[in-house]
Amino acid sequence: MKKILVVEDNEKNMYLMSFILTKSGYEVIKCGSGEDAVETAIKEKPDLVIMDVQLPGIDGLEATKRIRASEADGKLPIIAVTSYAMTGDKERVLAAGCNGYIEKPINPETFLAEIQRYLK
Amino acid sequence: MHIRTKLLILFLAFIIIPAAFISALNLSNASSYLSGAQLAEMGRLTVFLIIVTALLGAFVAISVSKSISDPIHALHKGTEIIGSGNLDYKVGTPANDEIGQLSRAFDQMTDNLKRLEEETQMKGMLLDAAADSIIVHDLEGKIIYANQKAGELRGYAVKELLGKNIHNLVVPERVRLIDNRIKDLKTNSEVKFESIHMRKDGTNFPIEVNARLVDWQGQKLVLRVGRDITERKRAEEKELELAKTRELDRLKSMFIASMSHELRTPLNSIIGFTGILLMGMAGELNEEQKKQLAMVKSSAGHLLTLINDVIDVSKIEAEKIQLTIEEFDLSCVVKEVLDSFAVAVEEKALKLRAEMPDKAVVKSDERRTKQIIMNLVSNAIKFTEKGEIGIRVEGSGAWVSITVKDSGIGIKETDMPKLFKQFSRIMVEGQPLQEGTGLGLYLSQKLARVLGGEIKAASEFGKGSEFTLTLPLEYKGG
Repeated sequence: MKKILVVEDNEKNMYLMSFILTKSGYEVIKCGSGEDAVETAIKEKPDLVIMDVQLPGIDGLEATKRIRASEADGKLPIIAVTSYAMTGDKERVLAAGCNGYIEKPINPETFLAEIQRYLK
Repeated sequence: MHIRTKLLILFLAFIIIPAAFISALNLSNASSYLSGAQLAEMGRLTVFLIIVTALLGAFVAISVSKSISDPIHALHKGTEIIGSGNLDYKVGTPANDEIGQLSRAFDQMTDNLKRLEEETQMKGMLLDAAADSIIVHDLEGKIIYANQKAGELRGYAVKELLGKNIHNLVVPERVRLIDNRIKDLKTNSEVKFESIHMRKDGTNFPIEVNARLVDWQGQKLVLRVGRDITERKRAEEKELELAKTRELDRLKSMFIASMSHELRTPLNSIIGFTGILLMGMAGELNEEQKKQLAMVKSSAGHLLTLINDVIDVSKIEAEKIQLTIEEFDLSCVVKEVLDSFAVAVEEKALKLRAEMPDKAVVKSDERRTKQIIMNLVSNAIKFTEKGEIGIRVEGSGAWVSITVKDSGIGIKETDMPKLFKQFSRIMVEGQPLQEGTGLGLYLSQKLARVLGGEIKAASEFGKGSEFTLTLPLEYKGG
């Protein structure tokens, strides 16, 4: 079973994503902050990270940079979740080391396909 | 000839006459040695000589005395004429003597006087032509000089200003201020300040004053150059108001942007969970539940579009929109847009026709370009009940155009100007008001401009509409 680390501070969004992922047969590890995410990513070695950009404390971009810095091969897929108000930051997201991004609100119909694309 | 010479001649003239007499007398003495006829002859000669000599002496005396008195007379007349103010008069004695020299020196003097007067006139003319009010007053404030403008500005004749106290030209509440500023002149060579002056008719005007201390014949005077700044003050006020409005606009836009963000957060849950339920991930639904949930989803989607449009508009208006400029294939974007509307086109049984090159690479903001095309296609579908929607992509020089044509209800000529206005919804009699935000075209046009392009509309009421988005092949600024 593939392990997916979901980093999201909003409880409802976390529930939404983890519900879809668990229903689809993935093991979900939940983190509510960037600091926690960095630590967990290093310890748990997930197959993919879903990273909300707006987080309390260090934000998703900073957390991504730290995870990337800790990696040996840089192959861990990290998908940013951005809010519409934050768009125009595509470059910023990619520059931080994310492989791609999903925009809120999450559309359950396309969400899984997106994730699976990066898992291959 | 010098007067000295003339006098010498005069002197000689008076010497020659007595000399002639004496020689005549000597002749009569000689009569004792000569015959009677000889004596008579000599006597006639003597008389003749006496007469000639006397005439000569008189002539010389008269002409010499005249050559002395005439120039003096001319000089006297000249001084009278020049004294009466005619500086153009020339005494102009050609004589070479001292009087001639004196008269030439005199002419030189009047020349200098004339030049001096002309210079003074010129300075006066310049002072009067100056655009600024120029006033000179003593330390007590008594006005000694005022130029034309100083009078004009305050509605006085220049003469009326002379002798007046400068305090009487200033609004009473400013008198102390200007006194203090004049006192500052003791330590500063120049002071600059703004004040409010009063016209003769009692009205006020703002003035900018530049004052400096000048020394005039041992007396300290104040030279004040004043400029009416009514226009500038008005412009400043307008500018201030404009800045206030701009700031308010900016705050409004910022407020909307942050509010919209807050509004979106709950929508994320509504849209997400409705989707999960509709997909049956949380269990099977009956038909009624599916229908009602689909309505929730549709309304939530509409609300989301509205919020997104409001965010975009506020971002553009706050000049905070960020673009991501990169190369992309426009044909591919158009295909994606058409794909996303496939269901809607099918539901309305419309025909879709697309004409575009296999690849149309442009350098712009892909997402914003897609957003505009989405809006144009969505409108075309919304306002077309039967017939077809055509989309065409074509390049022309440094530009590319995307035309969306429909066979829908069209737009009345009178409604055309409202098309790109904020929150303007065009009502067509006998047609239900279509669901929309009234922001779509307004935002699309704004976005097109941000991308350095434009949207143009053409329509025939009842026959259909055509919207053309023209963009530069390479973004070079909005």
